Amino acid sequence: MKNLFTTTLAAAALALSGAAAFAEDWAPPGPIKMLIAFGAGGGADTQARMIASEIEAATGWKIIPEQATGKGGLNAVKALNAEPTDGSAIAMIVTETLGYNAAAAGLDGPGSATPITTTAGTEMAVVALSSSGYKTLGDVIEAAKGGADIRFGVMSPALAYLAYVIGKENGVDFNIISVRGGKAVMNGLNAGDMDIGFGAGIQARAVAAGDMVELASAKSGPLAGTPEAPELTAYNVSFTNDTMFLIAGPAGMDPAARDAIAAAFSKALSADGSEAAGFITKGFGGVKMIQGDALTTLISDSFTQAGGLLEASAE
Amino acid sequence: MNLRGPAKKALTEMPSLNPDRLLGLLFVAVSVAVLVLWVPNDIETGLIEKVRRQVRIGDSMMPVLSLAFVIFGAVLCLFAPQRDAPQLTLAHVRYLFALGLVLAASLLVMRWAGPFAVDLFGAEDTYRNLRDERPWKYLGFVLGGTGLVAGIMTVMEGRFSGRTVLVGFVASVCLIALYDLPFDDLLLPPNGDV
Repeated sequence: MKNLFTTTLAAAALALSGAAAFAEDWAPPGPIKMLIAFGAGGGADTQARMIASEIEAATGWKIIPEQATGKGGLNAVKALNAEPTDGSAIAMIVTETLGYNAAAAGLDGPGSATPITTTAGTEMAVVALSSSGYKTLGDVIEAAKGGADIRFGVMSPALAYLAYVIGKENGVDFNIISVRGGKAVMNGLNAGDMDIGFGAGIQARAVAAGDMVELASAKSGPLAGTPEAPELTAYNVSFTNDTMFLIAGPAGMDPAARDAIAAAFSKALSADGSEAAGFITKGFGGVKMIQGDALTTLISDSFTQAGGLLEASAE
Repeated sequence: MNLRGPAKKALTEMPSLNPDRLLGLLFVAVSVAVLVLWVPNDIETGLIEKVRRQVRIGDSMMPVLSLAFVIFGAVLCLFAPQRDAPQLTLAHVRYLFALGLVLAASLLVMRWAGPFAVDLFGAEDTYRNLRDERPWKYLGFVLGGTGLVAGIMTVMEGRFSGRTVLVGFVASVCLIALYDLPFDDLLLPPNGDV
């Protein structure tokens, strides 16, 4: 985990080196409005507010957070695009907003906002209670083929479609239950209302304590907590969910503002004793900053993959 | 407003001016407008939708059902008004008009007093950039809030006095002390929307 943190920070620093001097000259013309596409008090909201507070302390800028929830971040993007492009408005969304959610809404995802930086990734996994007896997703599929009604908890439309495609590719029909937020999936599993569900990292403590088991990795690559968990490709599914928390500006944002804000996020999250970085490490598996061209490519790929997922799940 | 002749007769005697009928007409009109304009243009899914081989309730279902109930109630008011309902008089209309005027004027002052002051007093910046700076951030809220409270009190009491302005001013200052001073990240109206 520490290696991942160091590597991503180094990559971000390298990507920014060319723009650093330019970015240092930039200051926001007034307070920066930070639209947060998540409910107040949740992990993502806390993350955004903690980073904002540390940037304020480091730069003297004023950042005013504001909730703009709904439609998987698209409401925040819409509100963002009604703001000036001079760096006085940014939004905390997820890469899925400009990927799957934009594609499903028929929007041009990569063109509808200016990606500035990611802050954290997710440890997207299919999880179940240890007491369920399931060890891998294969066990669940076998149980479903044997006639068991498998209730699959999901917390976003993209994950609902991913759950559907997992079932479709393996000849089973999951009962997909959509709820609001990863915490609701965890509650559903603990209450026995769901058999399996997606966890984006919130499951880490329960997995470490042995109360939950990660049945499969739904991201590209192995899970930090259960590296031996099979990836979805093992179940004939070529799609993954690599959602990351994303800071974006309005479409057509001033590049100097974009670079300066990206640099401010890098500086805040790499500072010694950063409480925001500590919070992200605990809640989301570690700081992960991608900026510049690499981020543009990531958003573009996410949008393209979303089109494929929509097509694969079309009936 | 002094109406004479047919206009006065229309306001005081026409059966269509029964308040129940007016309310019914108003709510039918608004509901139909919402149903025809807002629902199809702002809600993505219909009454039902088929997703992943399952039929489920679409996002339009609840608003459409709610509007159907509103229209049903409004039609009842329209065609079966209370016979002993009080008649709408010119005094009622004037009262509502004055109240609407006070609300509209106060909100306009609240929204534009700050930007106007920034333009007028030559601060070399925009109001948006100064929306979290004293004294600019308080101008609209204090002037509009004072006007709102004083205006409503004046309409209710039927007379203007300096006391209403004082009450409005004190109320605005108290709200600033309650919501603005303790919280760094909270903007008073209208500053979140400029």
